[in-house]
Amino acid sequence: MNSRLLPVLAAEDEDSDRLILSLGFQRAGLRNPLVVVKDGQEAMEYLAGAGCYGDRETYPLPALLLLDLKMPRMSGFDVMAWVAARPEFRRIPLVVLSSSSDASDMERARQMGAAEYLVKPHAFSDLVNMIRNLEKRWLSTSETEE
Amino acid sequence: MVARDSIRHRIQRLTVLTTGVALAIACLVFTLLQWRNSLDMERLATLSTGRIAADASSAMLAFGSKDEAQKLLDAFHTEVDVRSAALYDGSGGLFAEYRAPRSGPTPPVPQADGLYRERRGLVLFQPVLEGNKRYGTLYLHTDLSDSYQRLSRYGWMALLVFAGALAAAHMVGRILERTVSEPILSLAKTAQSISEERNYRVRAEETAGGELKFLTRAFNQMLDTIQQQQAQLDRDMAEQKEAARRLAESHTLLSTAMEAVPAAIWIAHDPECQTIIGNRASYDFLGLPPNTNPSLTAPESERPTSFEVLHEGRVLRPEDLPVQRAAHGAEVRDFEEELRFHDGTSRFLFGNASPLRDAHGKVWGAVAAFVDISERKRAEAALRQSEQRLRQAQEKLLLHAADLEATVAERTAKLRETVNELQTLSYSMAHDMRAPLRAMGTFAQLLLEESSGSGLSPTAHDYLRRILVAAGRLDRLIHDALNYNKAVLHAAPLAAVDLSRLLQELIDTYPNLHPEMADIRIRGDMPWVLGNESFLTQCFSNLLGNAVKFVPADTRPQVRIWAESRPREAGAHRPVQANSELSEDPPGDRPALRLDPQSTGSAFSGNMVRIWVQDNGIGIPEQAQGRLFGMFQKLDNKYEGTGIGLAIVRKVVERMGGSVGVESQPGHGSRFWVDLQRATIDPTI
Repeated sequence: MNSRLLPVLAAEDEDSDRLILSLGFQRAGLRNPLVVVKDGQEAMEYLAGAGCYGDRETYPLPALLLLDLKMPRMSGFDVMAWVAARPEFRRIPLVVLSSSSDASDMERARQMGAAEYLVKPHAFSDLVNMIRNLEKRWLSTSETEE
Repeated sequence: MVARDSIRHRIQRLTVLTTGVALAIACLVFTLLQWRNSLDMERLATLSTGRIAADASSAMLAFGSKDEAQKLLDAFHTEVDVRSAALYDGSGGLFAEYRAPRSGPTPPVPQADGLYRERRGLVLFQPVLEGNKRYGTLYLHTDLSDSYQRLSRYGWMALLVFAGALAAAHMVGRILERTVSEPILSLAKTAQSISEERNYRVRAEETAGGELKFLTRAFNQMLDTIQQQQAQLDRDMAEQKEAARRLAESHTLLSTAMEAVPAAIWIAHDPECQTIIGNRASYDFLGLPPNTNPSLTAPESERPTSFEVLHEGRVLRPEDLPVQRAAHGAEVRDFEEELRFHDGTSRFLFGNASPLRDAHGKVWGAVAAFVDISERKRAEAALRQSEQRLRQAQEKLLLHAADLEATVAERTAKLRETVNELQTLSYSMAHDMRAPLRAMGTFAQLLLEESSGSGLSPTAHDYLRRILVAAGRLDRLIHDALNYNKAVLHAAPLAAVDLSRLLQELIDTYPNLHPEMADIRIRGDMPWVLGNESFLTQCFSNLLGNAVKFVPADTRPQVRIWAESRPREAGAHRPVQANSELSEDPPGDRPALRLDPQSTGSAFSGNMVRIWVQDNGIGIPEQAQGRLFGMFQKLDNKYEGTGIGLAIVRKVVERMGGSVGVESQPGHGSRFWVDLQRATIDPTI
């Protein structure tokens, strides 16, 4: 059951990008549900089970965390720092999906525990390919965890 | 003159005189004795003749026979020495008489009986006796002519003997004196020759024995001694002469040197420096006539008064003058003094003074040598003055500069703020433009997909495609612009990079570089270079991308890459490195560029390496090659591109201390070269 699959939690502030990401997941045919939050703050609240995310049945811990870097309120780096301080989230793979191709950003992300750093591709097809690769790499075992 | 006083003559005189005196005395005594004998014999003869005649006449008297008596008396005429005779009767009357011719008268009366010596000869008065009866007196007068004759004969004989003996003595003396005088004369001659010729090598011959031999020997020994002493004396003399010559030479040297040197030299000859002499320069310095006494402690009348001596602005007392101090045993070094003349002028001197000591170390004078440093002093003063002025000017300038700097700093800060704002703005604008662009491209794509099969007109279809292409081009443009921005702004620490690995990874990463798309070959070994990995990637991805892109249609791209060593030339690009301190700075904060060859450390060998990238592309016209590496230089609109790629290449290469260039002819392909610093580190580390 789809609902039994752990979700992918993505934090993305850009409206269009949120839609494109959802379409990309659809086109890639990913079975894991995609939860997209508007910024780092919300991502943190989801992970902490705070506020409306208190119900773990409805909002289970994700199988993968996709983080944009530049976001209002709490940036991707802030979230990574917060997560790194909590061992209970150690098993969740953390992938950066950013429009920045700065080497310094890449290096910083790697140091802060990002498992992968992806630059947002311009072409939609490239995005779909990228999502498929993500599934292969991080989500293929999520079913056995059930 | 040897003759008169010579020893030979003396000896001869001595012999003759001695002999003569002896002979004279002998002859005289002999003659006198002979004379006396003769007188005695005469007396005896007279007495005996008288007695005989008296005897004979006694009877005649007795008988008065005068004739008889006359006969008797006349008989005396045979006797030559009887001068006269007479007979006197008993009463004293003349009885008979005899007189030889030329004889004097007989005495008229007899005198007393006896024999008398008279001047004329002997006179005898003989009594005529018969028994005891006296009958008369006999007178007889004899002269001494016989005796005189005998005496004369003796005298002549004595004279002959005397003369002969003398002659013999002279002869003998001549022979004998030779044995004595010859050696002495020889000695004398030798002595004279020595005294005249001063030849002490001659020796007297040893001819005689005895004392003369000793004398000669002693004389010769004396000569030996004299010769030795003379030789010694000669040597001493020669040494003294040599010493004197050297002394004279060094004196000449000293005085010539003293006159020649342009420095003043003063020599004091007594510890109190009452007399000082100087060389010409010294009198010139002091403005005194030559050969005067310049001592300030000279006797009042000689003492110069035209100047005084100062040291560090104070007038020196005479005893503090360098010469005077040296004359009291002090060594004075590097002393500066001022001669202030009473006409207001000054002269500055600099020099030394040393004491003069005798063999026992006692100071007997001093010598001082000084040079004129007036010019230097003036130059120093002028220099000080201009330094002073310079300092003042500098201070003014510094104040000015500080003002200026403050202004500049203020304006620079403002400018930097503005530039930073602009850079940040453009960076984030460019960055933020990509998200809507992506949305545009994606939704155009999705719309195209949605509309396939539906009733969208071909024209609308074409429009959608154009939107898609334009969005894609704009994204690439932004992408390149961002890369160029990074090339300009981002920190780029240099490290040794293996070009061989980097190029292979590039070829593997980009699909258009894969073997099925292009024939890319690396010839020979690629070096390790001192560079920045990201910059090198930018550089070669652009060069290789261009090489496979700008080829004529239907031509398979062929790219050749090789390396060439280039010794570092004077004036070549210096190694450039982004300062590592700034590596953490946010992009766009400030240009992180700094020239610092040292900071590249040991990894930089000092040599450059040139990487060639050759293609079989369309080539570049000569006139376009100059602006090829500028921003937004697109040469051919047939080919997709932003016109930023080669600008990025130049920027990153320059920031790695290298340079870039191209050789190309249209239709014959292009050869791009990149000069990079060769790294020397061991690649295995």
